[in-house]
Amino acid sequence: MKISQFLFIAFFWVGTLAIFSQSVTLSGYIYDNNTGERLIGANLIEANSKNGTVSNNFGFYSLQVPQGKTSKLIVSYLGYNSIIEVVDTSTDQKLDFLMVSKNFELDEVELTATKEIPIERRNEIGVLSIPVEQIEMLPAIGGEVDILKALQLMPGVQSGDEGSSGLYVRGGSPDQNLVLLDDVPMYYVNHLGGFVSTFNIDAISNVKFIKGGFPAHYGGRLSSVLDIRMKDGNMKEFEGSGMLGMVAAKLAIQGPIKKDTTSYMISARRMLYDLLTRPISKLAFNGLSIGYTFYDFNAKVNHKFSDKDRLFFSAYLGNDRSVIRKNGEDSFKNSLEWGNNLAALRWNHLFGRKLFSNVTLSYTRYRFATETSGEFVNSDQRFESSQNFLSGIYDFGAKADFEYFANSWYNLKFGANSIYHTFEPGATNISELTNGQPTLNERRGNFDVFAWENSAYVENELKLGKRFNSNIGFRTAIYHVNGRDYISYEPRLLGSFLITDNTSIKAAYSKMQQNVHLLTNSGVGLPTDLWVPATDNISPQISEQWSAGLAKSIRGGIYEFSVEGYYKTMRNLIEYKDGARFVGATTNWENLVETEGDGTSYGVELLLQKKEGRTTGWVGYTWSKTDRQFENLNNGNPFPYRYDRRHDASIVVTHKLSENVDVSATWVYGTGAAFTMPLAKYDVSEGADLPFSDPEFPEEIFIYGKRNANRMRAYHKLDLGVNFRKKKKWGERTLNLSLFNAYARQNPYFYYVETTDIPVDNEGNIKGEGRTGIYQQSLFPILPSISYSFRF
Amino acid sequence: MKTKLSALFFLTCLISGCYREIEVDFPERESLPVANSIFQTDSLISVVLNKTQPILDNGPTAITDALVTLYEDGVEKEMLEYDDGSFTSSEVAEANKTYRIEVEISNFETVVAEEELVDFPNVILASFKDSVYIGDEGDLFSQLTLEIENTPDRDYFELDFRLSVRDPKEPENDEESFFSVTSSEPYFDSLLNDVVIQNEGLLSYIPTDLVFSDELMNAGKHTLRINYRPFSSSLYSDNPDEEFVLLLTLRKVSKNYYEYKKTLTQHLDAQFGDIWDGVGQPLPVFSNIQNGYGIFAGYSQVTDTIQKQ
Repeated sequence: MKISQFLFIAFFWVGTLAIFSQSVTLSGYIYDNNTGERLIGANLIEANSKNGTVSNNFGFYSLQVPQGKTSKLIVSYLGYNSIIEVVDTSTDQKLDFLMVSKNFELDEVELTATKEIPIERRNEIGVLSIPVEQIEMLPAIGGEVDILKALQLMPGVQSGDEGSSGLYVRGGSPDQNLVLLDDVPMYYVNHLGGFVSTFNIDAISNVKFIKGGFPAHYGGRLSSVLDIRMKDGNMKEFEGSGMLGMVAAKLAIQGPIKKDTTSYMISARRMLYDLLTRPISKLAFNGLSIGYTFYDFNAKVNHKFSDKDRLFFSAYLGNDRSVIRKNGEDSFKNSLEWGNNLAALRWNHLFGRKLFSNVTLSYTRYRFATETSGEFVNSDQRFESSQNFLSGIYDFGAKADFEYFANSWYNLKFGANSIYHTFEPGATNISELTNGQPTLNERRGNFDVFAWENSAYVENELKLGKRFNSNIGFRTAIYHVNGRDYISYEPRLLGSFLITDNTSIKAAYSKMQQNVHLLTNSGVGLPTDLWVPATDNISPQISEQWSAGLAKSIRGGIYEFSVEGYYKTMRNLIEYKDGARFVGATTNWENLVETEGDGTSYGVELLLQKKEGRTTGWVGYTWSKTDRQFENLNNGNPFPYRYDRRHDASIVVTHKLSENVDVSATWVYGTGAAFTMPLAKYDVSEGADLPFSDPEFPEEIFIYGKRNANRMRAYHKLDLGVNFRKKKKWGERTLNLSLFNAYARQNPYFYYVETTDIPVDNEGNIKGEGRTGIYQQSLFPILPSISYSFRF
Repeated sequence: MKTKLSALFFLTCLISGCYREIEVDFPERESLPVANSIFQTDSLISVVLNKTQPILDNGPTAITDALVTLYEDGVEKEMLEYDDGSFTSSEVAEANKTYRIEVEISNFETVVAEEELVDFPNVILASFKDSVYIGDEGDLFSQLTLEIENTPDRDYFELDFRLSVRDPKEPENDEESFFSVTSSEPYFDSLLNDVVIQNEGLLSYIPTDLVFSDELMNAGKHTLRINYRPFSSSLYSDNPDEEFVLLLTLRKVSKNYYEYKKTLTQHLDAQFGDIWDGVGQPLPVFSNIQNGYGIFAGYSQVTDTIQKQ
């Protein structure tokens, strides 16, 4: 028996033995008093025993306290007034708490507890949580605040290229991030070539980001988990919000269908420029209509059957679409479309007071499609043609998760997940008709791949004494593809020890397996990037990560400080072969890639956060190193990963000047990106017959140094934002002014070699030679933006 | 497809983008000889010798005082004479023979390269169809069909053609008249083309000639369909008397030539970053020169002309 298999059985037995003990159970849900929205991560502490717990992803809690007559219970949550309530502890109790947001003018409640569990007592490492309210205060490019861009400001998270929403976490690539929207994985999370993410902040209630110490209930990606929860919808009253910005406009409404029983939330966002470009281009280009837009749509309905049963239905539709169309004689249409569709049906059920369950049925689809079609008449014959390229992933999933709140020192989580994948790695359907008769009808490209992924996990959250916390878990998965099974055994270990009342040390180990790969030629997250499955020839990616750190609360939790170190190895990475591209090629994609690549990443991250007061924010710093190694790249030697940055720092400040005005600033600094430098050159051979070549001035071939061995100039920029809020009879309006790259830093996007024209005199005689130099291309020197938003 | 997306981003960059020259410290790198020679059957072999130079330098690099020895099928044939920038043979190259050069240059190791000159291709022009379908940019594409004899060996080819409008008033045999009026290189459809062509993965680089192998050709005779349009729309005129002329050249090339052209196309494209790739990963150009850089490769070609009103 392998060690990992032994651990699985051992952990399960530990859980089973620990279930029995003497105490009473307080359980229930924690809600926002105004909206009925359940609060995730709210903190409950029983004053005498100091036993505490946190509400789960559905707002449910279950707390074991010693049996007695009464006890004082403290409930707190960031941004809400704390509740202190004396409760009956003679028998098991069902207690729901309604918390009042500080935005509402009610009598101040006594504040005696911290607003959330202090960092040193949280049983986690490598977890970042940015409140949605704080994200909304940050500077916004084009008026569009963005969850992913806020996360890029955290240590251990790199942004990739300028303006992109890509997340490069602890040396990983963007495909290695498990992005969950209401428990359902999403694949492509960008609009507008990465400039905007697919997450509309108006539809989001909670964001949790994990970059190390992964609990066993998460799996399927190597580098991070981004767990995003959509708002449930206001159970009490109708409310809405909207925004008109320079990138897009959006509107969200929510309210009760039946008060305190059923609610809905609908949110829509759309880029509007195509409404202008289409009519203008028709006038300017003889009937040619040109337009690009993106949209996303979030909807959710939740229904409370009883205190024990609740049903949720969530849906997301998002698309980017570019269309060029000409109607009439010789008509044609060229369209490019990509996006996600996602739906989830979830059922919460409470067995007694201690066992919480959630069953999810889900469907997710990512699709990239192009269509080119046209018809015309030539020599009295009518020709029609169409070419449709399609690449995509379709997942049907079912999973069940259980949480057993056994007693004050032990919680058990377990569950199973099954996903059926259909991968379409890219195929083109071509058809041609002459006078209505088919002359060509064929399909080119890759065949679909079907895969079935089944996994199960168990997590044991165990407290030993008052100082030691642990999460000992195990996950196993079977991935079946093309007649081959890949079985993974993934231990997850986390331990924290309180060395003083406000300081703890933590350590974790995680092994992860990922059954999908992303093939990309670009650095900005293009829809043409190709999601491909692990197959019988190409193995799943595997990582192991060790992390350790120290966490400390300062001044009663107003400040939090953490330092973490990590070491991560990655195996079975793939990358395009030198010069290979997928678009246009017809060979099996497996022939175009380098396989069995290795990656190593290690670093140290420091984070100092101020979490309360009129001024909040953080200072983050990362020192890191990450490289890749492939047999056929860089002569088989390791080379720096493209987004390897030795130093990465960020400073984020938000300040409430008054009740109506808040300002924010973010400053980031990063070591220059790695690139491969041309060191020498020679002429192309005569007779090589190059495109557009001029025989008088032959093209030059560059001789490059080692792969990614050179660095561009450092990257840094300052963004500023200010929000002017004003209460109106109908609600509140906010005017946001933002300045991207406020001091107009010309950050390098790429370097290139250019030779100036050969000087000639007035008579055309050559006078000297052209001068060759290295040039830097930048993208955005300075971008002001304005947006107007409202709530009612 | 990518062009349109690029246009969108390019527009953004026009508003705000910028570039500037920067100072970079380059490490010292030893200069090496470069031998370039692309030759064909029934023509003289000509070798141009240079040296590599630092990336920012633009000084003269020609080597004129080398000793270049040419071997044919392993037997020394002659010392090449330097004249007007290159070392040239006195006799023409022949198909199915192996040529080798040894170049001695003072202060450098002897440069050596070898190439077997392939035979002529067997090709029959099957048909030419004007305006077959509408491409992704809304332009009409034409189709050229060739029948190529596919031998059991792995063969490599290059197709080069130019499109012209011939003025009927000019003398029929005056080749100059073909190209003096309007002439254009072809644009090959990057999304819809023969599998043999598309498989090479080069169409997105907008090549004006096509290199391909017979990897995906049918055994015996393969019918190759190439979809193209003229680069220049001015090639089309309203004059019904004008003749549309295609000057076709099909080369059977060596593997060395194929690798050189293929990597060269990708290498030149990767020299410049773009909005999408940022810093693209460079691709080294294939070279079969020992102790130096460059290429020593050959081909045999046939040409044909097609006229159509």
